[in-house]
Amino acid sequence: MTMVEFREVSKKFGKVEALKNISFTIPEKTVTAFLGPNGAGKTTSMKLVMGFLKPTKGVVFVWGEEPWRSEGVRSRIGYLPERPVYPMDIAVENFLNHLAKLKRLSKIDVNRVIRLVGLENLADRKIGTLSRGYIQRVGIAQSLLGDPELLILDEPTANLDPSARREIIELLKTLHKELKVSMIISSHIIPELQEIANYAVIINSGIALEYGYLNDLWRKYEIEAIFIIKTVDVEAAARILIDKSYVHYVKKVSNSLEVSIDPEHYKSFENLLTELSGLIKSYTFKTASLGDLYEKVVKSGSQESV
Amino acid sequence: MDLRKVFEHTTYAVNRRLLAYTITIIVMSIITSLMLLFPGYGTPIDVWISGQLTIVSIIFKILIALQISRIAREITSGEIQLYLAHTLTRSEYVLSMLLASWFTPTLILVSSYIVTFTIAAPNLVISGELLKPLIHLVPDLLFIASITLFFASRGREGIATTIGAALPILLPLSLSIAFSGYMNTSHPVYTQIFYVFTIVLGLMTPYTYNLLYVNYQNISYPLQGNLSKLANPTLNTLASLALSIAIITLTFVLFKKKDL
Amino acid sequence: MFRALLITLTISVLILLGVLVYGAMKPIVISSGDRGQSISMQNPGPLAIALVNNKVCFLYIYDVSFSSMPGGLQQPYQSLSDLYYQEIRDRRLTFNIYGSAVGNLTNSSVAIRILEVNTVAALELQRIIKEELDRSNLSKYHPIVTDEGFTRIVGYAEQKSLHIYNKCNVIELPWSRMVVKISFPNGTTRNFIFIEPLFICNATSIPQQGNTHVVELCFDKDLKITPIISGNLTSIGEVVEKAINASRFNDYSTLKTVDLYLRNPIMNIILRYSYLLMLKPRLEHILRALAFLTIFTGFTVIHYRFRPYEYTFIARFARRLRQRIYRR
Repeated sequence: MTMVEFREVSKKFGKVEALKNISFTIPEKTVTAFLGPNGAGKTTSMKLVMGFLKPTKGVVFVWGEEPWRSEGVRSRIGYLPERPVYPMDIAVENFLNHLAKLKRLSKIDVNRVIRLVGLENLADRKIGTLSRGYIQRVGIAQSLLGDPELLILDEPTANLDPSARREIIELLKTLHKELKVSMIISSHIIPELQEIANYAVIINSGIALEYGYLNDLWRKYEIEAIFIIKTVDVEAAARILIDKSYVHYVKKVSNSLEVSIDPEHYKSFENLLTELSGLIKSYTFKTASLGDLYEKVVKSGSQESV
Repeated sequence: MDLRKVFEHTTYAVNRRLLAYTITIIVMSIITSLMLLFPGYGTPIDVWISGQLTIVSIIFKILIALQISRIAREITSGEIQLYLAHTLTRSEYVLSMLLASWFTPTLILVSSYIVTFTIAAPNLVISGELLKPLIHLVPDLLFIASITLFFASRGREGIATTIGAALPILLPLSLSIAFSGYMNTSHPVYTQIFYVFTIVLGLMTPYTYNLLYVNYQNISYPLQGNLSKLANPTLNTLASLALSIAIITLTFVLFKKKDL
Repeated sequence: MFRALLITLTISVLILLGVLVYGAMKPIVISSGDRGQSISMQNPGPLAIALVNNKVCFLYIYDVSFSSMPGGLQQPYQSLSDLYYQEIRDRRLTFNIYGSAVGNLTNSSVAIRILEVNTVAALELQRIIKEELDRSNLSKYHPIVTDEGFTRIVGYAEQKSLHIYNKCNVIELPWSRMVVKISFPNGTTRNFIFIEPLFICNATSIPQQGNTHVVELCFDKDLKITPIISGNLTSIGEVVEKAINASRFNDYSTLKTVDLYLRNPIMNIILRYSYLLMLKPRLEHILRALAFLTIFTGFTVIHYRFRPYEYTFIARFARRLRQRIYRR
């Protein structure tokens, strides 16, 4: 079922056209990577979904309703704005309590999200005294209040140092795993998203270049996925992995293995690695496959436009 | 419109403005206490109340204007998006901001005034002598609130702050000049000009209008006949109230369509 | 919203209560002295003149109606509220008597006494003065009485006086009299002497409403004084004797001259009314303020029960305070 639909949407700010006749859909139960460079129109699209902006032309539907007309839609969405716009003079707990009250939620709900984002020890601190990473956690905490069906996260890792970025991504992964919540995440740092996204909307200069499930897009644009695997026995592991039909190649790099697979079988491969936990010490994604995808889409988009 | 949400957000906004309100009430209480101490020799009660209330009203008008102009900051910074994302509608937001920045200070001013005088001079409260100027003061505060709200809701913090801080001083001053000009001129053209100014400015500050009207009524003037052509203060106050409500309604309508 | 209202109202009542309690402990004293509530009295002329021993004495009577003064006695301080209980303290009426004399003026050469009598005594005094004038019959034009008569008049005033003030200070002012030569169109020139006050005498009385002040002014007989507009220096004793003689022989020219001298001694009297006003808050106001304070505190407690999260700042503040204390 379609969760979000943009139907020939244009948005102008004075003379600047942020979105140009854009159309795409996002189905339910997806984690959508909203990809595009700075100024592509990602934030504008998200604000249109939230109903903060009125389309100049076209229609935006969220669960079949126009958000800027029927403001009730917002009660089902959690929103993390791009900039840290939180009131700095208020304690974390008081701020979250107030937002919870607007949604008729109890103190228990507030405590739960505070625990979930790891702010238990800082709940009575004023927001202004927190580091950027923790302020972003406050943002995520507020977006999670009331168990929203859809989370819209606008640049959740922007302006954060690498370790804070890592923490936020891990947090989002946990949330998706535990709460099974749909997400639309925008970021111009593409590799971050490939760990959690299964759907993508790629926009550039206000135009939707491509959208769809990642598996389909990877196949369509022939993108491969590469894993770096640390193992106790390189030879044994390589033998097992090379037998799999979706594995393109296995390469030995010092004491690790570099494995290229068909991105369609990403999940199956991860499950396999989990089964082989006795043999496999750890694994990481090496390839920027989402980045590759983005690059290919942008390239083909520009070729089409030529 | 969900009034429960409006109340919650009003309370939240008021609590964030509490320091400003506390400082203002301390200043007001000191002024009132000291003026109770030194009411002056032979000053009539209504004149004394007007003088004291004029100073206090200017302070409160500036307070209201500054608090309302904070809305513009919330809009431009994007803070408003957080509240709207948590089910608050645009109308509920504007209404709660109006309640927090106009209604609450007005309620504080009026109730503190009544409490102070119930302690100091209960007879004045019972006789209603004290309440008369308040009837004109509340719409006066509402006008400043409505005009500041209009600009603040358009995201124009600079204009809202400047107008909000200047009007409480400029309006009574210009009205006094226009009123005095009208009452002292017999030249038909000048009388017309001053008349128009008096009527327009009177709508913007009904409290000052009432003050000047009553004052000119009590003094015998060569051109006393001019006064009868002006609107009665109560009528002027009602018209001012209608004007403020119109501005607020326009603000609500425009804000519904505003890009945030 | 209610928290803000309750807090601000509590603060408002607390400030008023603070002012009231402070006022109860240290009453507010307002001095009217600086407000310059003075009245100038036209010199009505002496009611009696006499040669008493080596002195020439003049007697004046002044009715002072204080209620007509700004902030008059009856309502010296008009208050908006009955917030303060008013008490007038140190009520004073200062007489500043300006006169002129020339010569070696000393404290002993001019003596002034102010006797305060009630209205009935003042009327009786006027009757006695009239009686003595008739009896003395020294001048048809000037109120000159015999020394015995004068002593009787003053004796009666002394007997009936509520207060006698004779702490009169004679201050020789450093002004000299001005002599101006003026030429007339017909060719004649005349010297005009403009009188500057050459002594000032002040005395302070504590007036009662409706009372009358009797002023006795005595000069040394040999003290030389000047008339108001022009004339020669002459001793005041001689002036009185001339007045008596001229009256006897209907010497109008002399009478006209001495008239100027006899009206001269007191040029002006300036009365300055002053008092200290003590303001004390009434107990009922303090109790009323306390009652309001109790009500607002009660409402705050009730509000806290309903919405405790609005008061977390108190707990937070207490915790920080505790932490700071422990650290120390």
